[in-house]
Amino acid sequence: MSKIVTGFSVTFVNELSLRILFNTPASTDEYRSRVSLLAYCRHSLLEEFTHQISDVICSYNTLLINTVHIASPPQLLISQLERALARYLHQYSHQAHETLPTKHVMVPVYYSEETGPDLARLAHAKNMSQQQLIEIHSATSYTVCALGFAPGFAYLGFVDNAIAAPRLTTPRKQVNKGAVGIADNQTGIYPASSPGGWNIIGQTPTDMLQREHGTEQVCPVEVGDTLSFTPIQREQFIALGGILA
Amino acid sequence: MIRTPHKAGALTLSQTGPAALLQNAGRHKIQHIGFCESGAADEHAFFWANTLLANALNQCALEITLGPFECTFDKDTRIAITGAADTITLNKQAVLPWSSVKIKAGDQLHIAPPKTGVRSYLAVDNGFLFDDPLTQEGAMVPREKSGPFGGEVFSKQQQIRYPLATKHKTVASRATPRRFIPDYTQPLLLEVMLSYQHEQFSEEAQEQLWRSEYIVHQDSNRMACTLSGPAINYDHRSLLSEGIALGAIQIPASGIPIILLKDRQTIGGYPKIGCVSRIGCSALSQRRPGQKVRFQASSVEDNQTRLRAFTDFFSLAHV
Repeated sequence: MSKIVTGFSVTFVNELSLRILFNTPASTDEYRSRVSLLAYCRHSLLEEFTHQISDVICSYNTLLINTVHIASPPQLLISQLERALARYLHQYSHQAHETLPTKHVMVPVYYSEETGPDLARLAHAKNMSQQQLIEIHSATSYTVCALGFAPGFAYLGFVDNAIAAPRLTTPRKQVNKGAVGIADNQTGIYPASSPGGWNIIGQTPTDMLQREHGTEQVCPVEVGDTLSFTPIQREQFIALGGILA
Repeated sequence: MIRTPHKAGALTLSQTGPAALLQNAGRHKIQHIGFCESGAADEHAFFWANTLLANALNQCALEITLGPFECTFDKDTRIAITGAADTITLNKQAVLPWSSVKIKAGDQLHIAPPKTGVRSYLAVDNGFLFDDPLTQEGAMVPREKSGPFGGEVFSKQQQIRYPLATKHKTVASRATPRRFIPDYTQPLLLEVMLSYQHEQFSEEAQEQLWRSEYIVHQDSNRMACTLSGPAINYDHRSLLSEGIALGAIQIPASGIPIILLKDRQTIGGYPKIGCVSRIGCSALSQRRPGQKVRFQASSVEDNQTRLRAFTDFFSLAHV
């Protein structure tokens, strides 16, 4: 585990929202531990300020906090948050990591030219076989650094430099639900069919937005969780409910 | 969750305009997985619609973009229509906007396309009902297919249910005093709280924002108000995505500001110079393509004071 940060600032960005900016991590490893800290802060804030805070959005190096009512006086809320965050940071750095509210999720992927229209081109561009590319992509445990763009879209950091690749110059009009892609040093899963510019190398049958027990849609991962990909064959993909376009 | 009682009325839609959606005061505890806040684009008109019926302020109402809109009610109720609507008829008889109106079973309501403004709000006594086990809050987002009715914009012949009239609620008719009804043709001066990356913008870039006049662009929608006008220069490198607050003024590669509204994406990586006030976002949501908008810097504290007065007004008007 990398060194824990101490520097952060708390400011209002509008009447009801506050932004917490942490000091800039120096490496991708530090970013991975940072988002785990953000997740810890998010859970702690929602628990401690349960009647004041409606949403906390974690992303890489920031938290955006939405409050329900205008704080009275506003400066008091800032100092309360500063004190609470300093306490969370201290707790986090002294806590056994088993107690952190993060989990690891395994996602099966059918890597193929059939489900990954950019697989062959990317492997060729990287001077490797498709199998080597698949092995590299599925060997890493990724961290959910942010969730958004569309509901359930997880930005996963970070892919091995050997397979990092820029976004397509012209985004596709249609990327299939479950498509697994690479953009720069990040990888991600399209939770629903949508336009998109990531390099698609496979497809998962796992739903990234699930409806459970008559509730709102939920996502199987949150920021700070880790995720790894397991290669599966065509038959398993179909048996697990995967749909080929 | 709102459960539909066995006895309920229903309105049947016969004209919906470009988009009719149920909206509430916004969704909570949903943005961390990427679902947008959503909610009524114009909170001023939305709160008035509920206030005129002595409804709870967050009861969901129909947000009708432009029009024409037409529906028939099958049970007695009361309604209130606020916002852009100016020509409303009930069984071909004119009725007033910004006032409560008694409805009898079989009544047909027609709202003509408004001459000014964009969005009208139709509220019913005690709010619309939806019995969707997959959603808890009455805001529909077509892009996400989230909210009641699968989030899809309403189409003709669809029905929306409402509770039967209750005896114990005040039945006094109410109307919004004239001084509280906005003129949506007025040029808009938006209050901006400098925040996010504003320190990375040069003084000239900031000056450019304060002195320029912008025109609302036709690509505007519930997600964002796009503008045309002078570009704001930003020459820092690309940023990491972060959470986006209501009213955030995003400066994309073109340099032309975009103001992010209720259906905005939860995170984004463009630089943001600050946020337009919540009251300003409501007013902006009623401006049509071609209308003029300017910006002025103001403090978070001043805008908090104004927003507190705004919400107190409706909370007090309610009792």
